[in-house]
Amino acid sequence: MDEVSLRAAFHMALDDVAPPKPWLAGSVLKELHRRRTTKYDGTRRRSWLRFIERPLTQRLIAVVLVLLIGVAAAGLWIFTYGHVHSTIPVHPPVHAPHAHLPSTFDCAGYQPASAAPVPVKPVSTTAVWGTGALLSSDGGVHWRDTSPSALRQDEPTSLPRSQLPPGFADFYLDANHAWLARGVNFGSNTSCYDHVVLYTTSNGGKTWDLALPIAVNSGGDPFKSPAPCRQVITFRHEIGTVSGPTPSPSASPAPCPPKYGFTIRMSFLDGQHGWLIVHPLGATTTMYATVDGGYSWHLLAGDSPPDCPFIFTSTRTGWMGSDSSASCDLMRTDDGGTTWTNQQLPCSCSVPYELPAFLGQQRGVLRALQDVLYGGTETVSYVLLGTSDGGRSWQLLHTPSDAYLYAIDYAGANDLWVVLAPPGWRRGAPGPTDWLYHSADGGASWKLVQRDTPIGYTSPINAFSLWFVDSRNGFVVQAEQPTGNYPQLLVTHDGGHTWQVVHEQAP
Amino acid sequence: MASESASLAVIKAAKEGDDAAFERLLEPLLNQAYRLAAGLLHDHQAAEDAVQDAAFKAWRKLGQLREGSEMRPWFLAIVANQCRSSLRSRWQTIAGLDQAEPVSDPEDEAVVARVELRQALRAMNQDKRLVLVLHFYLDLPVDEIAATIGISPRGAETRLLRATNELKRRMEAHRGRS
Repeated sequence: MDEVSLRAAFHMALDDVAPPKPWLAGSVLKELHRRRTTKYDGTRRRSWLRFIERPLTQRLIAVVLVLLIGVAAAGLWIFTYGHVHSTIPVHPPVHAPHAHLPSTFDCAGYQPASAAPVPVKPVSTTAVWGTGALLSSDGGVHWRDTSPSALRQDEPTSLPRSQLPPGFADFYLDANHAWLARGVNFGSNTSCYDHVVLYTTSNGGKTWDLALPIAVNSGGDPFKSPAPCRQVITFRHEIGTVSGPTPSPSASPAPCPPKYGFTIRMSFLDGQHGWLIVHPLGATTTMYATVDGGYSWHLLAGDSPPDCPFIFTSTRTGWMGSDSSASCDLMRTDDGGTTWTNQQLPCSCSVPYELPAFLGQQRGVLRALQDVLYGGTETVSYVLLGTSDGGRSWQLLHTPSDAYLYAIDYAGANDLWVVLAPPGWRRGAPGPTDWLYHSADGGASWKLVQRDTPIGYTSPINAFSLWFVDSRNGFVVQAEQPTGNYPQLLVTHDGGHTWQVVHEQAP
Repeated sequence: MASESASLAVIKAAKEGDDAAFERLLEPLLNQAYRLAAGLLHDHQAAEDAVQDAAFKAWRKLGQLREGSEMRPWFLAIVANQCRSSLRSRWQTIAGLDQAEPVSDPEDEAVVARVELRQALRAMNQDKRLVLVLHFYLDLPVDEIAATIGISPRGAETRLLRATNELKRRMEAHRGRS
């Protein structure tokens, strides 16, 4: 049927249901006039007249009802917002002296950061925090730098923007709360850095507040003249320290000695309670605690804890894993961080950079490193430990296979995921295509989700982080296979069956 | 140019509260509005009600007519939206649209063809029905259809082509079944 025929067909078909109405225009305009005048003149008056003409009892009841609804609404508003506002401490603004960066080879300066955003904390399926207070709202594709400009007030103009300040540390609790810390020199002539300063946000990085600086001595001489040496680049990430190429011993000039500064570790239980470890080079660590969201910190008396990752599961109970160079057991505090004691583990295991994950008040899991005989060769492998009494005792958990266990993560009280090397893999063999398992009962039983996944370890950078936001949505940060470029971000929306690379756009 | 200036002046006066000016703008559009509503609703009484409501809405929202815009596509868009609301709220109409239309004289091919077309139209979604009625029944050009729907002329062409193809397929399918 061509256009002309179709048009004719339309006219015939629809004229049947649209008989001509020559009176239509007049009728519509007349009705329009009536509505205009009645609605905006008479109707309103009639509404008021109708109310006034009602019996007094009915009018009183109507007024009382309106007043009661208003009072209830006001009360609800006061309870909701007044209550919240009364618990948010209001601190006076902090005015710190201007920081200056010691420009000597003796003092640690700005640290090189990864050119691509390094995701460190997914807080939802779309919101992801990255190192340096980068924030993505679209699952890691686009990033914006939310860090306060004051964080880098002493940055040399010659450095690229992606550098991190001396001693930089960050912690992200959720989509709104984050903390940034760094070392500063407010005028000391006897140490490289004399304070730790922190910036806090409770609105997702829209604004940052400066906390009261913490006085710390970093050692070193801020006025020492530079000497020629060869810099070895290192940067820290979640599971260890990654170094650049190792210089040969005979190369000149000699490698630079470690620079004076300090490492900072932070962890927050909630928006108010947090802990901070400061470890100056060559000196003992000190631990501080805050109860006001990081605005002020008090020094915890007691033995110096090791410079290890830690978390707190309550205001009193905390856990610390050992440094990778030590062979400590898991450590625990029950007095808010003042004293720490070693925990017995049911194996000859260590927990380098590992922390327990508690799936509720009593049940928890922990990845530990154990010497194993694998394929006739002595090697190490991760094993899974579980507790059902809040960490007082730990047991070896069954894992899907005896293969090399790379990573574990959890979402909620029951869902656990583990990434394992495929059966028969030999340590040192090239290119893993790892297998992902899921447990829906806290590790009692496992189901293979996917084999030959694009996630896992690759040399030379053994960096791998796994997070599941919920039972279907998860992220992996790893080194790209097979190039080894770091970081590469992958995402799954189907519980780990399929993974897609997220092409990050640097801010 | 003179007629354009006069038209703009009338619109300006209507926007400033001149009801007579508004009625002068509206009156020439009412018959087309009625045919649009009837083409969408297949019920002349419902179409008349829809045009009535649309006229009142247009009077209230005349301030939203953009400077320099034509009245006709703007008013027809209000009529189309009114028909959409009418379809959602009038269960009798919905029930009527869903039911097969009885053919008064099955031997008369012309009658059968008209019924087939109306049934095929009713089976299509409102967006496609709208673009077909605007083009084949109101005989509007593509750029005015685009202005009425609020999309680009190219988008209107594409939508019209797809809707036409679907209509033809439905009519052929109906012919094949019967």
